[in-house]
Amino acid sequence: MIFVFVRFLGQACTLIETKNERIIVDPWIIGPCNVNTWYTLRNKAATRKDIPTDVDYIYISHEHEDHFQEETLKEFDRKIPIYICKFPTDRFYNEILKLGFKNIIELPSWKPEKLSEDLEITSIKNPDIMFEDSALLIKSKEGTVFCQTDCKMDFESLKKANAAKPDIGFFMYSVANWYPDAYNYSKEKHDQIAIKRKANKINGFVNYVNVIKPKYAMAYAGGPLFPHKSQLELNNPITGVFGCPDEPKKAWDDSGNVGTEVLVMAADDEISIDGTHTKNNQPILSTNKMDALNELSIEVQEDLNNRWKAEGEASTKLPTKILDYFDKIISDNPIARKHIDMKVQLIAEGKNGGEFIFDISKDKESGTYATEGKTDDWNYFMKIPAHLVEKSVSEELLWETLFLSARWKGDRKPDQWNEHFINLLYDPDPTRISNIYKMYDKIH
Amino acid sequence: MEIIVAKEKLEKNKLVEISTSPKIIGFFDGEKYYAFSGICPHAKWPLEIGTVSTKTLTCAGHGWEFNIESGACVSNPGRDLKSFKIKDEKDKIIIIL
Repeated sequence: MIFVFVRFLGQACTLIETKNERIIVDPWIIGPCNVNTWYTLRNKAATRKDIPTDVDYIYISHEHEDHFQEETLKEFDRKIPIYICKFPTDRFYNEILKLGFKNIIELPSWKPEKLSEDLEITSIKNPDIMFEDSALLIKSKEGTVFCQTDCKMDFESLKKANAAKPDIGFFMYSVANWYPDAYNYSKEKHDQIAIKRKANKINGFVNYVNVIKPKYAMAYAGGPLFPHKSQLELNNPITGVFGCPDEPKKAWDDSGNVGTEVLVMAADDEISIDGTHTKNNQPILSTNKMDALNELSIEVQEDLNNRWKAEGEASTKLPTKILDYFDKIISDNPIARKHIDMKVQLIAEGKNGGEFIFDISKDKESGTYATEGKTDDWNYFMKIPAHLVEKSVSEELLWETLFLSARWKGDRKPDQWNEHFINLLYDPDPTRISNIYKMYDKIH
Repeated sequence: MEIIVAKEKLEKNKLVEISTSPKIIGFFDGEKYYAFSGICPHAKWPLEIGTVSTKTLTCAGHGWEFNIESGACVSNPGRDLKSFKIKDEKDKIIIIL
């Protein structure tokens, strides 16, 4: 009799069940995330009854909303222990506390934690010094399950995960980023970047599976659906950056690699530790994605419109809040400014919005960093709905979450990633920033 | 310090590990030889399992891209590879560390 199985619940959510216990990982099941935009890749939107709340443990890999989503987590008993990776900062721990969960356990990376006689979990931290994320190994007497979530792992960790001989592995296959969708590219340029990015990510899936080599691998943490009528083009299966799980499976099958069977699982499907796949739903594939999207879009449009309306509008205090916020985070972090070295134009679009310039140049040693106005001399341009800017400068909404929503437009001169700017917005705490650049300067 | 590598070791269009400590990889595009540090600065993936297309090396793990001539990171400026000078001799190359 097989007791261990995994139910896939969409995006990066898995429910791992042993003979006596259940642990759920990254529970995002109902509703949209990322400022009312992303839906999980499933045919029909899930409802509250689809949430398996009778679990013994919760593990959350990191703070992005497609892994840590309030609407789903609200359904769980606040006494259930939540396990997270021990990160350099307390920011994620504190975010979970805010939801009312009191029993939060931080696990040092690669230190196994025995939850019971038959269940052990090992959190694996990503190597990035700026952004916090983690993967998870779940081990019982009957077998081992690996969940990459969104974690971009170092190669040594992959080899260690391989040494754990996982039976089942879930691997990310899609970007979780706003590049190139948010930027002001021609359609041709956008499509060229998106196609290449998607291919790189799928290639990464193949390489992850090939190193960790579980018996069975599933592609997950992939593309979401964007059902709002203003965002339908983001779902294009050919020219969109977000893929479907049949694409990484095909890439694996074509790669010539052996030793692992890659399966396509639909949300609600189950797999037992011996590889038996129980199909409970139709998977969304690159071939039927647009049909599924159109149905979902009709189904949730009214609700989505109501949610967008309920976000409210910016207050008259917004211009002052923007200037105060940016002036503070820039002046508090001179070391970040030296690395960022650019001028930013922000257009807070809509009622009570305005135009703002942030001088984050390395040579600007003092004075006012944030002013109202417009310039052509920008290196980074952002046009964002004013009410969403207000949420971010009021620290109610992570900038990353806002960016992931694709409800904004950007541009770059030169056209290149500036991780230092995104890092400043990620968490401008001066102690964190200072610690990061001590490490960064050592590495480079 | 120098590392001498027989040209026959560097097959055309194939990334080859030349040295493990320090980790250095080499590449021959049919016209010119290149050598650079062999570990991706992002997540320490070995770069010999990456791919090269139009002078851009793409890391197998997370798709970071590097210019094989300069070592410059294209996808994340500043996170560059160290590239090494090469003396091209008759049947060997000499990598100047």
